[in-house]
Amino acid sequence: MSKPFTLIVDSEIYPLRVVQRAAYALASEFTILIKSGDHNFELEIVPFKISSDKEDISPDAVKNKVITELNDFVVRDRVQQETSGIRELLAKAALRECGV
Amino acid sequence: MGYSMSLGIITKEAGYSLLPFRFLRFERNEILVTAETGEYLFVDDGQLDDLVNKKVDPKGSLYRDLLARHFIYEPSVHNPINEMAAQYRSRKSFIFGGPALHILVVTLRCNHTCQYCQVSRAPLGGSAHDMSAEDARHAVDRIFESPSPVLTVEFQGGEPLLAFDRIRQIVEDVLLKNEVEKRNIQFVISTTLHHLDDKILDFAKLHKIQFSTSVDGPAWLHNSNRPVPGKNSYERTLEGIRAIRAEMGLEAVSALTTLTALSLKHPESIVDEYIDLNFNSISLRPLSPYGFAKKSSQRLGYSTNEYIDFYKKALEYLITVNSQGSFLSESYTSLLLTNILTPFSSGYVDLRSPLGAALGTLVYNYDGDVYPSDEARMMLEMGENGLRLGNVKNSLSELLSSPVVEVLLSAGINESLPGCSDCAFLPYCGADPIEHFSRQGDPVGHRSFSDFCNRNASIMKHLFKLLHFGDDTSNRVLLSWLSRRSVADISVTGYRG
Repeated sequence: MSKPFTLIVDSEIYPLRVVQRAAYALASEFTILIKSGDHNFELEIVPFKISSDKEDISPDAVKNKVITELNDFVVRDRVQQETSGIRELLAKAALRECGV
Repeated sequence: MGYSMSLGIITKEAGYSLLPFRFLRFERNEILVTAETGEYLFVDDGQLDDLVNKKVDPKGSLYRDLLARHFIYEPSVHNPINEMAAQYRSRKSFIFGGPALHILVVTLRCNHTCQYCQVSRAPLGGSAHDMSAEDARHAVDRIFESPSPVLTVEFQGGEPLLAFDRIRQIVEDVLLKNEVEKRNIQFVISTTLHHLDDKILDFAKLHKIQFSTSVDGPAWLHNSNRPVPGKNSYERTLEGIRAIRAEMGLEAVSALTTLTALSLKHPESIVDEYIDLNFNSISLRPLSPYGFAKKSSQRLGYSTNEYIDFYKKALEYLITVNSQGSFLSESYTSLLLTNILTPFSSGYVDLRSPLGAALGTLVYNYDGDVYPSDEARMMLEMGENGLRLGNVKNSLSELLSSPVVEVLLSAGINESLPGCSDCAFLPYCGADPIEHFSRQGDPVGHRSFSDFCNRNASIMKHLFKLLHFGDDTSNRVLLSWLSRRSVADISVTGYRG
Protein backbone atom coordinates (compact mmCIF):
# COMPACT_ATOMS: atom_id res chain seq x y z
CA MET A 1 0.00 0.00 0.00
CA SER A 2 1.23 3.47 -0.93
CA LYS A 3 2.09 6.18 1.59
CA PRO A 4 -0.74 8.29 2.99
CA PHE A 5 -0.88 11.99 2.45
CA THR A 6 -3.09 14.68 3.83
CA LEU A 7 -5.34 17.12 2.05
CA ILE A 8 -6.90 19.99 3.94
CA VAL A 9 -10.14 21.39 2.58
CA ASP A 10 -12.22 24.38 3.61
CA SER A 11 -15.33 23.06 5.37
CA GLU A 12 -17.45 25.94 4.12
CA ILE A 13 -16.78 25.05 0.53
CA TYR A 14 -16.69 21.31 1.14
CA PRO A 15 -19.24 20.52 3.87
CA LEU A 16 -19.09 17.17 5.63
CA ARG A 17 -21.85 15.61 3.51
CA VAL A 18 -19.83 16.39 0.37
CA VAL A 19 -16.58 15.06 1.81
CA GLN A 20 -18.27 11.86 3.00
CA ARG A 21 -19.91 11.18 -0.34
CA ALA A 22 -16.65 11.76 -2.18
CA ALA A 23 -14.85 9.41 0.21
CA TYR A 24 -17.56 6.78 -0.37
CA ALA A 25 -17.28 7.09 -4.13
CA LEU A 26 -13.48 6.74 -4.01
CA ALA A 27 -13.48 3.89 -1.49
CA SER A 28 -12.31 1.29 -4.00
CA GLU A 29 -9.21 3.38 -4.79
CA PHE A 30 -8.43 5.19 -1.54
CA THR A 31 -9.09 4.90 2.14
CA ILE A 32 -9.92 8.38 3.35
CA LEU A 33 -9.94 9.23 7.03
CA ILE A 34 -11.83 12.45 7.69
CA LYS A 35 -10.74 14.59 10.62
CA SER A 36 -12.54 17.71 11.65
CA GLY A 37 -10.42 20.82 12.13
CA ASP A 38 -10.96 24.50 12.61
CA HIS A 39 -13.17 25.50 9.64
CA ASN A 40 -11.63 22.69 7.65
CA PHE A 41 -11.45 18.96 7.18
CA GLU A 42 -8.21 17.07 7.16
CA LEU A 43 -8.36 14.14 4.76
CA GLU A 44 -5.80 11.45 5.36
CA ILE A 45 -5.69 9.59 2.06
CA VAL A 46 -4.16 6.19 1.54
CA PRO A 47 -4.25 4.90 -2.04
CA PHE A 48 -4.68 1.17 -2.65
CA LYS A 49 -2.11 -0.51 -4.77
CA ILE A 50 -4.33 -3.00 -6.60
CA SER A 51 -1.67 -5.34 -7.96
CA SER A 52 2.08 -5.69 -7.76
CA ASP A 53 2.58 -4.79 -11.40
CA LYS A 54 0.88 -1.42 -11.04
CA GLU A 55 2.96 1.67 -10.31
CA ASP A 56 2.33 3.56 -7.13
CA ILE A 57 0.06 6.47 -7.93
CA SER A 58 1.87 9.79 -7.55
CA PRO A 59 0.79 12.24 -4.83
CA ASP A 60 -0.17 14.77 -7.49
CA ALA A 61 -2.38 12.24 -9.23
CA VAL A 62 -4.04 11.33 -5.94
CA LYS A 63 -4.59 14.97 -5.12
CA ASN A 64 -6.07 15.66 -8.56
CA LYS A 65 -8.40 12.72 -8.36
CA VAL A 66 -9.64 13.54 -4.87
CA ILE A 67 -10.10 17.23 -5.61
CA THR A 68 -11.97 16.46 -8.82
CA GLU A 69 -14.27 14.13 -6.92
CA LEU A 70 -14.81 16.68 -4.17
CA ASN A 71 -15.63 19.39 -6.69
CA ASP A 72 -18.03 17.10 -8.51
CA PHE A 73 -19.82 16.36 -5.27
CA VAL A 74 -20.05 20.07 -4.53
CA VAL A 75 -21.87 20.41 -7.85
CA ARG A 76 -24.12 17.45 -7.05
CA ASP A 77 -24.87 18.90 -3.65
CA ARG A 78 -25.77 22.22 -5.18
CA VAL A 79 -28.08 20.61 -7.72
CA GLN A 80 -29.68 18.62 -4.93
CA GLN A 81 -30.22 21.74 -2.81
CA GLU A 82 -31.68 23.71 -5.69
CA THR A 83 -33.99 20.94 -6.83
CA SER A 84 -34.96 19.75 -3.38
CA GLY A 85 -38.42 18.25 -3.34
CA ILE A 86 -38.81 17.91 -7.09
CA ARG A 87 -37.90 14.22 -7.18
CA GLU A 88 -40.44 13.48 -4.49
CA LEU A 89 -43.07 15.55 -6.29
CA LEU A 90 -42.36 13.70 -9.50
CA ALA A 91 -42.61 10.30 -7.85
CA LYS A 92 -45.90 11.26 -6.19
CA ALA A 93 -47.33 12.57 -9.44
CA ALA A 94 -46.27 9.48 -11.37
CA LEU A 95 -47.04 6.81 -8.82
CA ARG A 96 -50.16 8.12 -7.12
CA GLU A 97 -52.00 4.85 -7.56
CA CYS A 98 -49.34 3.04 -5.56
CA GLY A 99 -50.14 5.17 -2.54
CA VAL A 100 -46.87 7.12 -2.82
CA MET B 1 -54.79 17.38 -12.33
CA GLY B 2 -51.53 19.34 -12.27
CA TYR B 3 -49.04 19.76 -9.51
CA SER B 4 -47.73 23.10 -8.34
CA MET B 5 -44.06 23.90 -8.22
CA SER B 6 -44.02 26.20 -5.21
CA LEU B 7 -40.77 24.90 -3.86
CA GLY B 8 -38.73 28.02 -3.22
CA ILE B 9 -36.19 27.24 -5.88
CA ILE B 10 -33.37 29.76 -6.24
CA THR B 11 -33.43 31.21 -9.74
CA LYS B 12 -31.18 34.29 -9.47
CA GLU B 13 -31.90 36.53 -12.44
CA ALA B 14 -31.76 33.65 -14.94
CA GLY B 15 -34.90 32.69 -16.81
CA TYR B 16 -34.48 29.03 -16.00
CA SER B 17 -34.40 26.79 -12.97
CA LEU B 18 -32.67 23.47 -12.56
CA LEU B 19 -34.40 20.14 -12.61
CA PRO B 20 -32.77 17.19 -10.86
CA PHE B 21 -29.95 15.55 -12.79
CA ARG B 22 -26.89 13.40 -12.25
CA PHE B 23 -23.60 13.31 -14.11
CA LEU B 24 -20.55 11.18 -14.82
CA ARG B 25 -17.22 12.09 -16.37
CA PHE B 26 -16.07 10.30 -19.48
CA GLU B 27 -12.78 10.78 -21.25
CA ARG B 28 -12.01 13.71 -23.55
CA ASN B 29 -13.68 16.25 -21.24
CA GLU B 30 -17.09 14.78 -22.02
CA ILE B 31 -19.59 14.58 -19.20
CA LEU B 32 -22.75 12.48 -19.37
CA VAL B 33 -25.69 14.19 -17.70
CA THR B 34 -28.86 12.22 -17.10
CA ALA B 35 -32.24 13.62 -16.14
CA GLU B 36 -34.71 12.10 -13.73
CA THR B 37 -36.77 11.02 -16.72
CA GLY B 38 -33.84 9.09 -18.18
CA GLU B 39 -33.12 11.58 -20.95
CA TYR B 40 -29.45 12.29 -21.42
CA LEU B 41 -26.96 14.68 -22.95
CA PHE B 42 -23.20 15.01 -23.22
CA VAL B 43 -21.70 18.34 -22.13
CA ASP B 44 -18.21 19.55 -21.35
CA ASP B 45 -16.84 21.07 -18.14
CA GLY B 46 -17.61 24.61 -19.23
CA GLN B 47 -21.18 23.74 -20.19
CA LEU B 48 -21.78 21.95 -16.89
CA ASP B 49 -20.47 24.98 -15.06
CA ASP B 50 -22.75 27.29 -17.09
CA LEU B 51 -25.72 25.01 -16.50
CA VAL B 52 -25.35 25.02 -12.74
CA ASN B 53 -24.53 28.73 -12.59
CA LYS B 54 -27.49 29.72 -14.77
CA LYS B 55 -25.32 31.08 -17.55
CA VAL B 56 -26.50 28.99 -20.47
CA ASP B 57 -27.36 31.22 -23.41
CA PRO B 58 -31.13 30.95 -23.97
CA LYS B 59 -30.63 31.49 -27.68
CA GLY B 60 -28.24 28.56 -28.11
CA SER B 61 -28.87 24.94 -29.04
CA LEU B 62 -27.60 23.71 -25.67
CA TYR B 63 -30.37 25.64 -23.91
CA ARG B 64 -32.99 24.12 -26.21
CA ASP B 65 -31.61 20.63 -25.60
CA LEU B 66 -31.52 21.14 -21.84
CA LEU B 67 -35.08 22.40 -21.85
CA ALA B 68 -36.40 19.68 -24.13
CA ARG B 69 -34.72 16.91 -22.15
CA HIS B 70 -35.83 18.15 -18.76
CA PHE B 71 -32.61 19.39 -17.25
CA ILE B 72 -34.01 22.89 -16.85
CA TYR B 73 -37.38 24.54 -16.96
CA GLU B 74 -38.72 28.07 -17.22
CA PRO B 75 -40.96 28.72 -14.21
CA SER B 76 -42.65 31.70 -15.82
CA VAL B 77 -43.45 29.75 -18.98
CA HIS B 78 -44.20 26.12 -18.32
CA ASN B 79 -44.60 23.60 -15.52
CA PRO B 80 -42.97 20.39 -16.74
CA ILE B 81 -44.03 18.14 -13.89
CA ASN B 82 -46.99 16.50 -15.62
CA GLU B 83 -45.06 15.49 -18.73
CA MET B 84 -42.09 14.38 -16.63
CA ALA B 85 -44.43 12.39 -14.43
CA ALA B 86 -45.82 10.66 -17.52
CA GLN B 87 -42.31 9.66 -18.59
CA TYR B 88 -41.38 8.61 -15.08
CA ARG B 89 -44.53 6.53 -14.86
CA SER B 90 -43.69 4.78 -18.13
CA ARG B 91 -40.27 3.96 -16.85
CA LYS B 92 -41.70 2.55 -13.64
CA SER B 93 -44.78 0.96 -15.17
CA PHE B 94 -43.72 -2.48 -13.96
CA ILE B 95 -44.67 -1.42 -10.42
CA PHE B 96 -48.37 -1.47 -11.23
CA GLY B 97 -48.60 -5.03 -12.39
CA GLY B 98 -47.54 -7.15 -9.46
CA PRO B 99 -45.56 -10.35 -9.93
CA ALA B 100 -45.65 -11.21 -13.61
CA LEU B 101 -42.97 -13.91 -13.73
CA HIS B 102 -43.77 -17.10 -11.88
CA ILE B 103 -41.05 -19.73 -11.81
CA LEU B 104 -41.99 -23.26 -10.85
CA VAL B 105 -39.19 -25.61 -9.88
CA VAL B 106 -40.96 -28.83 -10.69
CA THR B 107 -38.04 -31.10 -9.83
CA LEU B 108 -34.44 -31.05 -8.68
CA ARG B 109 -33.60 -34.19 -10.64
CA CYS B 110 -31.06 -33.71 -13.41
CA ASN B 111 -28.77 -35.87 -15.51
CA HIS B 112 -26.07 -33.20 -15.84
CA THR B 113 -23.30 -32.41 -13.37
CA CYS B 114 -22.47 -28.89 -14.48
CA GLN B 115 -19.80 -27.52 -12.22
CA TYR B 116 -21.15 -24.04 -12.38
CA CYS B 117 -24.67 -25.14 -11.59
CA GLN B 118 -26.43 -22.54 -9.54
CA VAL B 119 -29.04 -24.92 -8.20
CA SER B 120 -29.14 -28.08 -6.16
CA ARG B 121 -29.61 -31.24 -8.15
CA ALA B 122 -30.91 -34.65 -7.22
CA PRO B 123 -30.37 -38.10 -8.76
CA LEU B 124 -32.59 -39.16 -11.62
CA GLY B 125 -34.53 -41.84 -9.86
CA GLY B 126 -37.48 -41.34 -7.53
CA SER B 127 -39.82 -38.44 -6.99
CA ALA B 128 -38.72 -37.22 -3.59
CA HIS B 129 -37.44 -34.06 -5.19
CA ASP B 130 -40.43 -33.41 -7.39
CA MET B 131 -43.13 -30.82 -6.75
CA SER B 132 -46.29 -32.47 -5.43
CA ALA B 133 -49.58 -32.24 -7.29
CA GLU B 134 -51.12 -30.43 -4.34
CA ASP B 135 -48.37 -27.81 -4.20
CA ALA B 136 -48.71 -27.33 -7.94
CA ARG B 137 -52.42 -26.60 -7.53
CA HIS B 138 -51.67 -24.03 -4.83
CA ALA B 139 -49.01 -22.44 -7.04
CA VAL B 140 -51.59 -21.95 -9.79
CA ASP B 141 -53.86 -20.21 -7.27
CA ARG B 142 -50.97 -17.92 -6.29
CA ILE B 143 -50.22 -17.06 -9.90
CA PHE B 144 -53.72 -15.76 -10.50
CA GLU B 145 -53.72 -13.74 -7.29
CA SER B 146 -51.25 -11.44 -9.03
CA PRO B 147 -53.09 -8.59 -10.76
CA SER B 148 -50.70 -8.58 -13.71
CA PRO B 149 -52.56 -8.81 -17.02
CA VAL B 150 -49.52 -10.54 -18.52
CA LEU B 151 -48.15 -13.63 -16.82
CA THR B 152 -45.12 -15.73 -17.65
CA VAL B 153 -45.09 -19.21 -16.19
CA GLU B 154 -41.60 -20.64 -16.40
CA PHE B 155 -40.67 -24.19 -15.54
CA GLN B 156 -37.21 -24.83 -14.13
CA GLY B 157 -35.33 -27.54 -12.30
CA GLY B 158 -33.02 -29.55 -12.11
CA GLU B 159 -34.25 -30.75 -15.45
CA PRO B 160 -37.98 -29.90 -15.60
CA LEU B 161 -38.79 -32.32 -18.43
CA LEU B 162 -38.08 -35.16 -15.98
CA ALA B 163 -41.29 -34.06 -14.24
CA PHE B 164 -43.31 -33.49 -17.37
CA ASP B 165 -46.53 -34.80 -15.84
CA ARG B 166 -46.35 -31.98 -13.33
CA ILE B 167 -45.76 -29.45 -16.10
CA ARG B 168 -48.76 -30.80 -17.94
CA GLN B 169 -50.93 -30.57 -14.84
CA ILE B 170 -49.90 -26.97 -14.20
CA VAL B 171 -50.37 -25.83 -17.81
CA GLU B 172 -53.82 -27.39 -17.95
CA ASP B 173 -54.83 -25.92 -14.61
CA VAL B 174 -53.62 -22.47 -15.66
CA LEU B 175 -55.44 -22.60 -18.97
CA LEU B 176 -58.64 -23.74 -17.30
CA LYS B 177 -58.50 -20.91 -14.80
CA ASN B 178 -57.62 -18.47 -17.54
CA GLU B 179 -60.88 -19.11 -19.33
CA VAL B 180 -62.35 -16.88 -16.65
CA GLU B 181 -59.32 -14.71 -15.87
CA LYS B 182 -58.48 -13.88 -19.48
CA ARG B 183 -54.82 -12.94 -18.89
CA ASN B 184 -52.11 -12.99 -21.50
CA ILE B 185 -50.09 -16.06 -20.55
CA GLN B 186 -46.75 -17.28 -21.82
CA PHE B 187 -45.30 -20.63 -20.85
CA VAL B 188 -41.57 -21.29 -20.96
CA ILE B 189 -39.61 -24.42 -20.14
CA SER B 190 -35.92 -23.98 -19.26
CA THR B 191 -34.36 -27.28 -20.19
CA THR B 192 -31.34 -29.08 -21.57
CA LEU B 193 -33.77 -30.73 -24.06
CA HIS B 194 -32.17 -34.10 -23.40
CA HIS B 195 -35.48 -35.59 -22.32
CA LEU B 196 -37.61 -34.07 -25.04
CA ASP B 197 -39.87 -36.58 -26.78
CA ASP B 198 -42.79 -36.47 -29.19
CA LYS B 199 -45.37 -36.45 -26.43
CA ILE B 200 -43.79 -33.36 -24.87
CA LEU B 201 -43.32 -31.68 -28.22
CA ASP B 202 -46.96 -32.24 -29.21
CA PHE B 203 -48.12 -30.78 -25.92
CA ALA B 204 -45.79 -27.78 -26.29
CA LYS B 205 -46.99 -27.17 -29.81
CA LEU B 206 -50.62 -27.34 -28.77
CA HIS B 207 -50.14 -24.79 -26.00
CA LYS B 208 -47.48 -22.65 -27.69
CA ILE B 209 -44.94 -23.33 -24.96
CA GLN B 210 -41.56 -21.74 -25.57
CA PHE B 211 -38.28 -23.45 -24.78
CA SER B 212 -35.16 -21.91 -23.34
CA THR B 213 -32.00 -23.99 -23.41
CA SER B 214 -28.27 -23.61 -22.87
CA VAL B 215 -25.66 -23.55 -25.61
CA ASP B 216 -22.34 -22.52 -24.14
CA GLY B 217 -20.52 -22.42 -27.46
CA PRO B 218 -19.04 -24.95 -29.88
CA ALA B 219 -19.33 -28.62 -28.96
CA TRP B 220 -15.92 -28.89 -27.28
CA LEU B 221 -16.67 -25.92 -25.01
CA HIS B 222 -20.25 -26.88 -24.25
CA ASN B 223 -19.33 -30.47 -23.41
CA SER B 224 -16.44 -29.32 -21.25
CA ASN B 225 -18.79 -27.10 -19.23
CA ARG B 226 -21.64 -29.59 -19.06
CA PRO B 227 -20.51 -33.13 -18.42
CA VAL B 228 -22.95 -35.98 -18.92
CA PRO B 229 -22.15 -39.72 -18.90
CA GLY B 230 -22.18 -40.00 -22.71
CA LYS B 231 -20.05 -36.84 -23.11
CA ASN B 232 -22.57 -35.71 -25.68
CA SER B 233 -24.44 -32.89 -23.99
CA TYR B 234 -24.04 -30.59 -26.98
CA GLU B 235 -25.20 -33.17 -29.52
CA ARG B 236 -28.31 -34.07 -27.53
CA THR B 237 -29.22 -30.43 -26.99
CA LEU B 238 -28.88 -29.75 -30.68
CA GLU B 239 -31.08 -32.71 -31.45
CA GLY B 240 -33.72 -31.14 -29.24
CA ILE B 241 -33.34 -27.73 -30.88
CA ARG B 242 -33.80 -29.24 -34.34
CA ALA B 243 -36.86 -31.20 -33.25
CA ILE B 244 -38.52 -28.11 -31.77
CA ARG B 245 -37.76 -25.97 -34.78
CA ALA B 246 -39.08 -28.61 -37.16
CA GLU B 247 -42.41 -28.69 -35.31
CA MET B 248 -42.79 -25.20 -33.94
CA GLY B 249 -40.52 -22.87 -35.90
CA LEU B 250 -37.25 -21.09 -35.32
CA GLU B 251 -38.55 -18.74 -32.65
CA ALA B 252 -39.87 -21.48 -30.36
CA VAL B 253 -36.50 -22.12 -28.78
CA SER B 254 -33.96 -19.62 -27.48
CA ALA B 255 -30.57 -20.25 -25.94
CA LEU B 256 -28.37 -18.79 -23.24
CA THR B 257 -24.67 -19.19 -22.58
CA THR B 258 -23.07 -19.56 -19.23
CA LEU B 259 -19.53 -18.32 -19.26
CA THR B 260 -16.68 -20.04 -17.53
CA ALA B 261 -13.05 -18.92 -17.45
CA LEU B 262 -12.51 -21.15 -20.50
CA SER B 263 -15.40 -19.44 -22.32
CA LEU B 264 -13.83 -16.04 -21.81
CA LYS B 265 -10.93 -16.98 -24.08
CA HIS B 266 -13.23 -17.66 -27.02
CA PRO B 267 -15.71 -14.85 -27.63
CA GLU B 268 -15.65 -15.18 -31.42
CA SER B 269 -16.15 -18.94 -31.34
CA ILE B 270 -19.19 -18.57 -29.12
CA VAL B 271 -20.72 -15.91 -31.36
CA ASP B 272 -19.95 -17.95 -34.49
CA GLU B 273 -21.67 -20.96 -32.95
CA TYR B 274 -24.86 -18.99 -32.39
CA ILE B 275 -24.81 -17.71 -35.93
CA ASP B 276 -24.23 -21.20 -37.31
CA LEU B 277 -27.16 -22.44 -35.25
CA ASN B 278 -29.40 -19.68 -36.61
CA PHE B 279 -30.22 -18.03 -33.32
CA ASN B 280 -31.12 -14.37 -33.44
CA SER B 281 -30.13 -13.54 -29.92
CA ILE B 282 -27.34 -14.51 -27.56
CA SER B 283 -27.08 -13.87 -23.86
CA LEU B 284 -23.51 -13.47 -22.65
CA ARG B 285 -24.24 -13.69 -18.97
CA PRO B 286 -21.47 -14.07 -16.40
CA LEU B 287 -21.36 -16.71 -13.69
CA SER B 288 -23.40 -15.70 -10.69
CA PRO B 289 -22.35 -16.03 -7.07
CA TYR B 290 -24.89 -18.72 -6.22
CA GLY B 291 -25.09 -22.40 -5.64
CA PHE B 292 -22.39 -24.64 -7.01
CA ALA B 293 -21.10 -21.74 -9.08
CA LYS B 294 -20.01 -20.01 -5.91
CA LYS B 295 -18.40 -23.15 -4.50
CA SER B 296 -16.47 -23.67 -7.74
CA SER B 297 -15.63 -20.03 -8.21
CA GLN B 298 -11.93 -20.48 -7.56
CA ARG B 299 -11.62 -22.95 -10.43
CA LEU B 300 -14.23 -21.71 -12.84
CA GLY B 301 -14.45 -18.09 -12.01
CA TYR B 302 -13.07 -14.83 -13.21
CA SER B 303 -13.15 -11.28 -12.04
CA THR B 304 -15.71 -8.77 -13.13
CA ASN B 305 -13.00 -6.90 -15.02
CA GLU B 306 -12.09 -10.06 -16.94
CA TYR B 307 -15.75 -10.52 -17.82
CA ILE B 308 -16.01 -6.91 -19.01
CA ASP B 309 -12.98 -7.39 -21.28
CA PHE B 310 -14.65 -10.44 -22.76
CA TYR B 311 -17.95 -8.62 -23.15
CA LYS B 312 -16.33 -5.76 -25.06
CA LYS B 313 -14.53 -8.15 -27.41
CA ALA B 314 -17.67 -10.18 -27.97
CA LEU B 315 -19.71 -7.05 -28.58
CA GLU B 316 -17.18 -5.72 -31.06
CA TYR B 317 -17.32 -9.01 -32.93
CA LEU B 318 -21.10 -9.07 -32.78
CA ILE B 319 -21.24 -5.59 -34.29
CA THR B 320 -18.92 -6.73 -37.08
CA VAL B 321 -20.95 -9.82 -37.96
CA ASN B 322 -24.20 -7.89 -37.77
CA SER B 323 -22.86 -5.23 -40.09
CA GLN B 324 -22.00 -8.00 -42.52
CA GLY B 325 -25.58 -9.20 -42.71
CA SER B 326 -26.17 -11.64 -39.84
CA PHE B 327 -28.72 -10.67 -37.20
CA LEU B 328 -27.62 -11.72 -33.74
CA SER B 329 -28.38 -9.38 -30.86
CA GLU B 330 -26.91 -9.59 -27.39
CA SER B 331 -29.89 -9.73 -25.07
CA TYR B 332 -28.50 -7.84 -22.07
CA THR B 333 -27.24 -5.10 -24.36
CA SER B 334 -30.66 -4.91 -25.98
CA LEU B 335 -32.46 -4.47 -22.70
CA LEU B 336 -29.98 -1.79 -21.59
CA LEU B 337 -30.56 0.01 -24.88
CA THR B 338 -34.29 -0.12 -24.19
CA ASN B 339 -33.66 1.50 -20.82
CA ILE B 340 -31.31 4.13 -22.26
CA LEU B 341 -32.91 5.03 -25.56
CA THR B 342 -36.61 4.66 -24.86
CA PRO B 343 -38.89 6.04 -22.16
CA PHE B 344 -39.85 2.51 -21.22
CA SER B 345 -38.27 0.07 -18.87
CA SER B 346 -37.19 -3.26 -20.26
CA GLY B 347 -38.95 -4.75 -17.26
CA TYR B 348 -36.03 -7.09 -16.64
CA VAL B 349 -36.52 -8.24 -13.09
CA ASP B 350 -32.82 -8.19 -12.16
CA LEU B 351 -32.34 -4.59 -13.27
CA ARG B 352 -35.11 -2.46 -11.96
CA SER B 353 -35.84 -0.09 -9.10
CA PRO B 354 -37.83 -0.96 -7.04
CA LEU B 355 -36.32 -4.40 -7.26
CA GLY B 356 -37.87 -7.19 -9.26
CA ALA B 357 -37.49 -9.91 -6.65
CA ALA B 358 -40.86 -10.63 -5.03
CA LEU B 359 -42.50 -7.58 -6.60
CA GLY B 360 -42.00 -8.87 -10.12
CA THR B 361 -41.11 -12.53 -9.66
CA LEU B 362 -42.00 -15.41 -7.43
CA VAL B 363 -40.32 -18.79 -7.34
CA TYR B 364 -42.21 -21.85 -6.16
CA ASN B 365 -39.70 -24.47 -5.10
CA TYR B 366 -40.27 -28.21 -5.49
CA ASP B 367 -40.87 -28.54 -1.72
CA GLY B 368 -43.59 -25.88 -1.61
CA ASP B 369 -41.43 -23.06 -0.30
CA VAL B 370 -41.70 -19.72 -2.07
CA TYR B 371 -38.81 -17.37 -2.77
CA PRO B 372 -38.59 -13.85 -4.15
CA SER B 373 -36.25 -14.83 -6.97
CA ASP B 374 -34.40 -17.73 -8.49
CA GLU B 375 -31.19 -16.42 -6.93
CA ALA B 376 -32.76 -16.43 -3.48
CA ARG B 377 -33.68 -20.08 -3.99
CA MET B 378 -30.15 -20.85 -5.15
CA MET B 379 -28.80 -19.49 -1.90
CA LEU B 380 -30.27 -22.56 -0.23
CA GLU B 381 -27.32 -24.42 -1.69
CA MET B 382 -25.09 -22.11 0.29
CA GLY B 383 -26.98 -22.84 3.48
CA GLU B 384 -28.91 -19.60 3.40
CA ASN B 385 -32.66 -20.05 3.79
CA GLY B 386 -33.30 -16.62 5.23
CA LEU B 387 -34.85 -15.36 2.01
CA ARG B 388 -37.78 -17.75 2.07
CA LEU B 389 -41.08 -15.81 1.85
CA GLY B 390 -43.33 -18.59 3.05
CA ASN B 391 -45.14 -21.59 1.70
CA VAL B 392 -47.16 -22.00 -1.47
CA LYS B 393 -50.26 -22.49 0.69
CA ASN B 394 -49.93 -18.91 1.97
CA SER B 395 -51.87 -16.34 0.00
CA LEU B 396 -49.99 -13.94 -2.27
CA SER B 397 -50.80 -11.15 0.10
CA GLU B 398 -49.24 -13.09 2.99
CA LEU B 399 -46.16 -13.90 0.92
CA LEU B 400 -45.62 -10.29 -0.06
CA SER B 401 -46.14 -9.15 3.53
CA SER B 402 -43.21 -11.27 4.63
CA PRO B 403 -40.50 -9.45 6.63
CA VAL B 404 -38.10 -10.62 3.90
CA VAL B 405 -39.88 -8.36 1.41
CA GLU B 406 -39.51 -5.44 3.78
CA VAL B 407 -35.76 -6.02 4.06
CA LEU B 408 -35.44 -6.39 0.30
CA LEU B 409 -37.42 -3.21 -0.32
CA SER B 410 -35.28 -1.25 2.12
CA ALA B 411 -32.27 -2.20 0.00
CA GLY B 412 -34.01 -2.46 -3.35
CA ILE B 413 -34.74 1.11 -4.39
CA ASN B 414 -31.59 2.51 -5.90
CA GLU B 415 -32.82 6.10 -5.66
CA SER B 416 -32.31 5.79 -1.91
CA LEU B 417 -29.04 3.88 -1.80
CA PRO B 418 -25.62 5.39 -1.12
CA GLY B 419 -23.58 5.47 -4.29
CA CYS B 420 -26.53 4.65 -6.54
CA SER B 421 -28.38 7.85 -5.69
CA ASP B 422 -25.50 9.89 -7.17
CA CYS B 423 -24.91 7.65 -10.18
CA ALA B 424 -25.64 8.98 -13.66
CA PHE B 425 -26.76 5.50 -14.76
CA LEU B 426 -29.48 5.33 -12.12
CA PRO B 427 -32.45 5.77 -14.49
CA TYR B 428 -31.30 2.73 -16.49
CA CYS B 429 -30.19 0.53 -13.65
CA GLY B 430 -31.60 -1.30 -10.68
CA ALA B 431 -30.85 -2.62 -7.26
CA ASP B 432 -30.10 -6.26 -6.58
CA PRO B 433 -30.08 -6.75 -2.83
CA ILE B 434 -29.92 -10.51 -3.20
CA GLU B 435 -26.70 -10.41 -5.20
CA HIS B 436 -25.24 -7.95 -2.69
CA PHE B 437 -26.32 -10.19 0.14
CA SER B 438 -24.67 -13.15 -1.55
CA ARG B 439 -21.40 -11.38 -2.34
CA GLN B 440 -21.03 -8.92 0.52
CA GLY B 441 -23.20 -10.41 3.22
CA ASP B 442 -25.37 -7.31 3.23
CA PRO B 443 -28.32 -6.44 0.98
CA VAL B 444 -27.05 -2.87 0.43
CA GLY B 445 -23.36 -3.59 0.53
CA HIS B 446 -20.78 -0.99 -0.33
CA ARG B 447 -21.46 0.19 -3.87
CA SER B 448 -17.83 1.06 -4.55
CA PHE B 449 -16.93 -2.60 -4.10
CA SER B 450 -20.02 -3.96 -5.78
CA ASP B 451 -19.56 -6.38 -8.66
CA PHE B 452 -23.12 -5.63 -9.69
CA CYS B 453 -22.33 -1.90 -9.92
CA ASN B 454 -18.97 -2.41 -11.57
CA ARG B 455 -20.42 -4.75 -14.16
CA ASN B 456 -23.45 -2.65 -15.04
CA ALA B 457 -21.65 0.69 -14.94
CA SER B 458 -18.84 -0.67 -17.13
CA ILE B 459 -21.26 -2.05 -19.70
CA MET B 460 -23.38 1.09 -19.74
CA LYS B 461 -20.34 3.33 -20.00
CA HIS B 462 -19.18 1.24 -22.94
CA LEU B 463 -22.57 1.48 -24.62
CA PHE B 464 -22.71 5.23 -24.14
CA LYS B 465 -19.26 5.49 -25.69
CA LEU B 466 -20.44 3.50 -28.69
CA LEU B 467 -23.58 5.59 -29.00
CA HIS B 468 -21.85 8.94 -28.61
CA PHE B 469 -18.36 8.41 -29.98
CA GLY B 470 -18.81 5.30 -32.06
CA ASP B 471 -19.16 5.12 -35.80
CA ASP B 472 -22.40 4.90 -37.76
CA THR B 473 -22.05 1.17 -38.19
CA SER B 474 -21.97 0.52 -34.47
CA ASN B 475 -24.91 2.83 -33.93
CA ARG B 476 -26.97 1.23 -36.65
CA VAL B 477 -26.30 -2.26 -35.34
CA LEU B 478 -27.29 -1.26 -31.80
CA LEU B 479 -30.45 0.42 -33.07
CA SER B 480 -31.25 -2.64 -35.15
CA TRP B 481 -31.21 -4.69 -31.93
CA LEU B 482 -33.43 -2.19 -30.19
CA SER B 483 -35.96 -2.16 -32.99
CA ARG B 484 -35.48 -5.82 -33.96
CA ARG B 485 -34.99 -4.92 -37.57
CA SER B 486 -32.10 -5.67 -39.87
CA VAL B 487 -29.22 -3.22 -40.07
CA ALA B 488 -30.10 -2.53 -43.68
CA ASP B 489 -33.43 -1.12 -42.50
CA ILE B 490 -31.75 1.37 -40.16
CA SER B 491 -30.85 4.21 -42.47
CA VAL B 492 -30.30 6.93 -39.88
CA THR B 493 -28.84 6.64 -36.45
CA GLY B 494 -30.93 9.29 -34.76
CA TYR B 495 -29.50 11.86 -32.40
CA ARG B 496 -26.21 11.18 -30.75
CA GLY B 497 -27.03 13.11 -27.58
